[in-house]
Amino acid sequence: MKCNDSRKINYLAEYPQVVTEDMLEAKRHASECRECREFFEGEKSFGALLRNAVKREPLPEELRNKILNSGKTIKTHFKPRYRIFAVAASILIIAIAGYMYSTYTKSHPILEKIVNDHVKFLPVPQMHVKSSNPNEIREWFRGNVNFPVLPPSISATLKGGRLCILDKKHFALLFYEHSGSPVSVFITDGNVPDDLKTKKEVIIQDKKAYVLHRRGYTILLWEDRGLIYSLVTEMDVKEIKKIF
Amino acid sequence: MDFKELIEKHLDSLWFTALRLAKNREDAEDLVQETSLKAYENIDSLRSENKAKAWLFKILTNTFINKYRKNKSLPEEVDVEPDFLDPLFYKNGHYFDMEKDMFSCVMDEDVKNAVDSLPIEFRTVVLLVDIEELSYKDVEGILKISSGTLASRLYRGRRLLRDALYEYAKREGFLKEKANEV
Repeated sequence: MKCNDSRKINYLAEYPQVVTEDMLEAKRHASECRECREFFEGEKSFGALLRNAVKREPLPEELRNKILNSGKTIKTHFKPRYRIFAVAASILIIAIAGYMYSTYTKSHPILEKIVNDHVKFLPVPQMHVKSSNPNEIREWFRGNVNFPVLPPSISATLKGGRLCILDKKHFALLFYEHSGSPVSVFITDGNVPDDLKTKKEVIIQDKKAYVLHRRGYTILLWEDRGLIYSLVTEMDVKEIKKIF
Repeated sequence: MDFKELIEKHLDSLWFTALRLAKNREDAEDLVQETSLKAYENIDSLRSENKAKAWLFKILTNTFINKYRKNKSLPEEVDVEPDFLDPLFYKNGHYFDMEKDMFSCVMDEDVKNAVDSLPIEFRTVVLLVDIEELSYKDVEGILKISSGTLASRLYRGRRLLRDALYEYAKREGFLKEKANEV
């Protein structure tokens, strides 16, 4: 692949909608080509240098007061359906990731379908159990799945869970929230399929986790005592590591 | 969260961007006020607090574009795809250290003037991506442009800005073209 083709593809590779063979090739090229690496380093550092170089003049006090004291002190009420949509979307993504784990032969295309379905699911989260108590969640799942559901201990607010059946396989979906970002954890029994063991790994709570990205969402996969956990969120890996 | 609290967090950023878009204080004041008012009136359309910044900048940008359209016509939106071959730290065939040779020797006002000198379509993406650090996805949504158009404008905007800063630094005698160091 030529440098300009690789750069064209990699230039805005923040949230690729679909990971294509060309994208993988472009990334391989960029990692092996010194000139392309330098090109992207220049692009990356430009914004930071620019931000450091400009001083931000604060909004004039008079105007600030005028805006803030215009007599309108209302509370923001985010529509529940949007919250629901966000939570359900995350759940769906997790479910999709879980589905991928459970189906060894299907990998990326299924993940894409899951993400698409996730969007469809967002408006209706349909929690089966609403609780922030891990014991209550565990108890509820005891009668519904034939594996123990141990909500991972993370610095996010546990909201509840639901049972999900994908491809005749049971999954426990747990809903968390961290700083306004929905975090979904999808649990099922089995092992992480080999084709999902990406090269990008992080260590969380002494366990190796594999990192995947789909349409702007980060998916973290790990195994623990015979269970597969998949965490799905809009946060990046650096932020996710902070909640463990 | 209180509406005041929500908007107050972003007022300085909105003000900075409004100044760079409108290029004069009077219009920038109107722009920030109008943005605040519209935000207040349309608070129900805000999906979640963590989307507030992108949402406010969308209102600001739309308000500016609507005003701009009333007064002048927007430039023809023809985005010619760039070749992506021009590294930012090369100019006229010579390598220079952007940090030492350029950003460290131009004044804050020069940088602002250089940003203001960019054509509006490039200025907007540089402000939103490089200064406000909004995600590409958010900026695509704010400006209603495709990722290809965003890439093209960002690539060209950064180079136009680099060239303007390079000229400032050269004019002030801070920058001497050096032999290729790489």
